[in-house]
Amino acid sequence: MGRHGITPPVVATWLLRVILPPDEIPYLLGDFREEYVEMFSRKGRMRAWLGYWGQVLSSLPLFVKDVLYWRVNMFLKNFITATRTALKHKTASFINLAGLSLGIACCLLILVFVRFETSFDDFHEHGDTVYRLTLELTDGENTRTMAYTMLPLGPALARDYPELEAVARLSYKNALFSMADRNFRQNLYYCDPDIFNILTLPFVEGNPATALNEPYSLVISAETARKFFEGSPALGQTISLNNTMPYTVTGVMADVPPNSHLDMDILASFASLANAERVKGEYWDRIGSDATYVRLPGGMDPAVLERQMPDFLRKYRDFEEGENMILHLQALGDIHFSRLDYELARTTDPNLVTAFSAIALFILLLACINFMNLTTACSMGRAKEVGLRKVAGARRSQLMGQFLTESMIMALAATALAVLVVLLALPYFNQLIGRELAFSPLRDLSLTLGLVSVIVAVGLGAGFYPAVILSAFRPVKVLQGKPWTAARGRVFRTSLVVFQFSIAVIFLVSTIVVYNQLDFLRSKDVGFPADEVLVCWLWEDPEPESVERFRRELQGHSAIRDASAAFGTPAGSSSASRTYKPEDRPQEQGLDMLTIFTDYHFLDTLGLQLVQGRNFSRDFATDADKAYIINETAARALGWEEPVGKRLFSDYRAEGTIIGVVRDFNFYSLRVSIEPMILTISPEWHNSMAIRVQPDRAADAIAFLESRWPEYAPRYPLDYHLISDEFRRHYTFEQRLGTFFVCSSILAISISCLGILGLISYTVARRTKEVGIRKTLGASVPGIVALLVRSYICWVLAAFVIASPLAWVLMDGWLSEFAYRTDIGWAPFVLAGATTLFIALATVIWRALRAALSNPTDTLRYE
Amino acid sequence: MKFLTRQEEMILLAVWQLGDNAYLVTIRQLLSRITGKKWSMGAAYVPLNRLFQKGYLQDRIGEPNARRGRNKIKYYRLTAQGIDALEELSAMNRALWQDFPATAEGEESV
Repeated sequence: MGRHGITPPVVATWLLRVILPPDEIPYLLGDFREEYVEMFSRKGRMRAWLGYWGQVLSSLPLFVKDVLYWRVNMFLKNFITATRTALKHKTASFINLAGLSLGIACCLLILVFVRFETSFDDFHEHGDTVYRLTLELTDGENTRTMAYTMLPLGPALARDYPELEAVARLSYKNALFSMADRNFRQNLYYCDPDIFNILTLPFVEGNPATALNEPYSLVISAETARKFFEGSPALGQTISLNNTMPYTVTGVMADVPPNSHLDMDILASFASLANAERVKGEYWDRIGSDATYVRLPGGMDPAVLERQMPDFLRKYRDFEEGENMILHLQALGDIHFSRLDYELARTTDPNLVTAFSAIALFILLLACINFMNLTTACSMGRAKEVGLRKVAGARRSQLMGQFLTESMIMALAATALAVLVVLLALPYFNQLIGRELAFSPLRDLSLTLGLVSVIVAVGLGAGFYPAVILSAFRPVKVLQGKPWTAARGRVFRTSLVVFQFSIAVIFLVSTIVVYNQLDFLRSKDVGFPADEVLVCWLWEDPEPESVERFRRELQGHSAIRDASAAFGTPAGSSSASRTYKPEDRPQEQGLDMLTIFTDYHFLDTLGLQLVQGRNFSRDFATDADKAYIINETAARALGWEEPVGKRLFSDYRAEGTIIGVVRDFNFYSLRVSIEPMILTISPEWHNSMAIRVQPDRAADAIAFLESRWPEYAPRYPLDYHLISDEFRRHYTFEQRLGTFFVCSSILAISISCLGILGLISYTVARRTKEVGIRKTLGASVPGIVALLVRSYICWVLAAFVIASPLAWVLMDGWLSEFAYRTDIGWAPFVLAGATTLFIALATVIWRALRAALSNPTDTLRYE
Repeated sequence: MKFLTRQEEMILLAVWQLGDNAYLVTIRQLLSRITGKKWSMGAAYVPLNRLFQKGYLQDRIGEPNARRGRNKIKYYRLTAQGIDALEELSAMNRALWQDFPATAEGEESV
């Protein structure tokens, strides 16, 4: 029979190669070919060709089914083995499962948080073409960026660039809303009607096209409507703002999702402000809390518009020497992570989100490494199993499959547990960080996909190394009882342990430093007794005489040391920045200073200390409107050693004389450094009252305040707070995140401790026989313990040396963000090192003692 | 004893009949001849492989014949377990067929 030139159809053969079970390919291909040759010699080429194709096509589905059948069969077998193994080694499985699921749970929580933070403003239909204008202001050497823009900017933009789809101004205000019998103090935005063409704010009632056209119109959110009107229809109702103008509700919009950078609960028509002085005039110099938003036409490059802004601005405004303004277009999606000096929105530090993602990854990595460590360590006990399987003819791929299945099952179980933990912990977590995060893997496709990939990644990642190592055991060695002849496994595991200790050290150091810094901020002296000073808002348009009467009455009470009316109190929301020119350099660009308009009692009420000059006094007639007291920072900024007696020219008052210098005190928060500040007497501006209470009699003072309030402001609710509480509020988010950071580090530390515990247990167990022999040869218990402990001390020390510089760099970077920071010092390092060493030693000694105290006859009987 | 499928039973018997020359091609041809039906390669291979995995058959790799090119042959032979299974099966079949009137065995039995 000729066998040359008789080859079966190539394509069909290739198909067979693809589909046949890989191990059987050579034999089966031979079988197919044999049939073909036989047919060829009996019935000719054509029939053989057809027959071959027929065979291939009719056999393919059967082969596919067969391959699948064996895959499933294998998986089930592995599954059963895995469950049996897990149940046999209960402690190890528990440590593994607990570590993994804690790790995954923490990772998931952070993931949910990160996803929320990165999802800001993603619900706006035209979001990708919406921009906010931000202003970069250069004043001599001083550059500030702000979300605030000049009010005439919006209309001018709309006029000069008709191609813009929409332009709207937002003006942030706080007002008192009065219904028939109830009052609420709330924030609101005055907006141009175009706002609804820029942001997506669906209406429940009313027409967005006309809702904000008329003056004195209000659009409120559904939740606000419920709060204001308790279920009765809101549309068409009137609400009085600040007890002056009645506004009409012209629309109710759906609640704005929590991931919006603006808390838009109440919108008022911009036209309502038409009579306000600053709106009437073309004030291109004034910058208040007003933002400008634009929507570009599709396809328009924001950079092109941005390049035209300098010329555009110059058309409307003259610039002085050294002064400059640059307008930027900030994409809507970037606002939440923007870091401007003056911000209107709720923003988050992007570094923080990065830091948390890193923590999440680290925790997951730690959990995986633990898993790898423990599984490989456990493999000692399973070496015999592997050896026997190999002798019985198991292929390496089968063994690897078995180990991977085991780790997959563990990962799956751990993930299921983790989901449960997250569901239970989320409410507390939300409370902790003050957000409203939601977690529902069933409804959320991307989250589910994320979960599945977590399972696969953890399963493969954590199971791969043990699978490779274990399946590589040589049966002969194993059955002799020495699987660990290769040193490479040991090196790898040692480095893993060192890595784990290092991570623990880094986390410990960071946790201690973060805690120290937060504690430092909490207890930092702000320059005056903030916990003794109450601030309450005054009523609308207060008469200076009645304010003074009220002030005197308060001061007269025994629980109150002093009281002072002012515009601008520490940690408050209103403050004014004014420009001052020094007498010796009047032609220069002036200095912007935070200006507090107050009365004769401000210094005494806040307990501020004078370092030069004197306090305001009624004995000097000029103090009433021509005297200034500045702080030390201002004195430095003005460049005067002896500022007392020097004159300043300001933009609101021709001339005034500095009469004193006050010691620096914190006005906003400790994150911001102290600014130049100036105090002056100006009763017509007062909008709040600062009240210094006797240390233990705050309750009496408050009771008195509440009893006297109605006489002065019958229609106005009393709104007061302690300055130290306000300061604290400034740090809340930071503090919460700090707490969260501390929590997750503790978790990371406990995960590594779990791993260290498991690992040590197994290394010690591995040396049981050695310990037994040493004991029979007369070794003492302390001697044996010391022997086992020695290597771990080395590892901890190595980890400490590696981790300390890293931790220092990390924490120094974090602290550099604060104006007031603690020194890192050496204490955190000592503490972290000692803790790690203690944990390691305690575990080793506990385990080693057990080994050393055990009876050699028990341990040696294993042979 | 676990029941075998009809195909598995036939394959097992074919391997027995073919003795030292039992491999996929000869098994398939024998079955096609006896049953008078087309057996595709896959239809023969699937039960054959299953019997092998269950331990009824053992394999032996042999040198290729002229028609196969360089591809070796995987021969199958009954294991002790396989022979036991066949014995049990035949005993059971005899018991089951005992009173059936037809004298001719093995034909038209489906």
